[in-house]
Amino acid sequence: MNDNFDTVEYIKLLEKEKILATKGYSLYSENEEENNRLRSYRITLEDQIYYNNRYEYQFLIKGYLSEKMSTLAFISAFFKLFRIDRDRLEPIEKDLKRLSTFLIDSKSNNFATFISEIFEDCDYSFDENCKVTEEEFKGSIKKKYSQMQKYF
Amino acid sequence: MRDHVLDPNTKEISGTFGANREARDGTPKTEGTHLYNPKTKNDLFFGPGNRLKSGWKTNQGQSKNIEIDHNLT
Repeated sequence: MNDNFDTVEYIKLLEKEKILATKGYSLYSENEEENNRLRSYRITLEDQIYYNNRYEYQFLIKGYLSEKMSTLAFISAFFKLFRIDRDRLEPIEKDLKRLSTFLIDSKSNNFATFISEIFEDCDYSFDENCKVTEEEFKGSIKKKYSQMQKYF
Repeated sequence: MRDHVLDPNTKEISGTFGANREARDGTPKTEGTHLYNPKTKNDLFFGPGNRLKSGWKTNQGQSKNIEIDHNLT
């Protein structure tokens, strides 16, 4: 478990952010240090949210690498999964009871960043200047699949 | 997109797109401008010639990259 995840302080900062918002301000513009701390909690929580879905990501990538789906179908499914996890944080922050008991597994550290890198590779494949072939794209996903194993 | 651009919380940030990817695999980054909204976490990135390159709602890690490093991906 992660001892740095102080839910009491996290909730206090969320409440401060909420009060500032009602006055037309934001923690981002009013207090850099507190904003950084709040962001740090959010990133920790986000890591855990994506980590909770690690088997889904693994299953999807494995399916793509075993030729069970096209590259486009893979990217589309990956974007969908990524969006679902990205949007899970806000409802958890609104449910303070749930947030106060949320457990963080230290193995989840940086998992969201890892998944974001795959997302960014997928996004880049649509770039007009992209010189990555489909074969190279699949190769990079294969490499990520191998790197992913440390999270299991 | 229009709402995002006109939202008073949307900030214009000179920065890059793809600096992390450049460090990972050598794919060149792009210099340009982010239109980023810290409230909604939405970002649009405009590359050379002010051409829209990419845009999405960022997650927490990605929004940190924009706010601190002025870079996305």
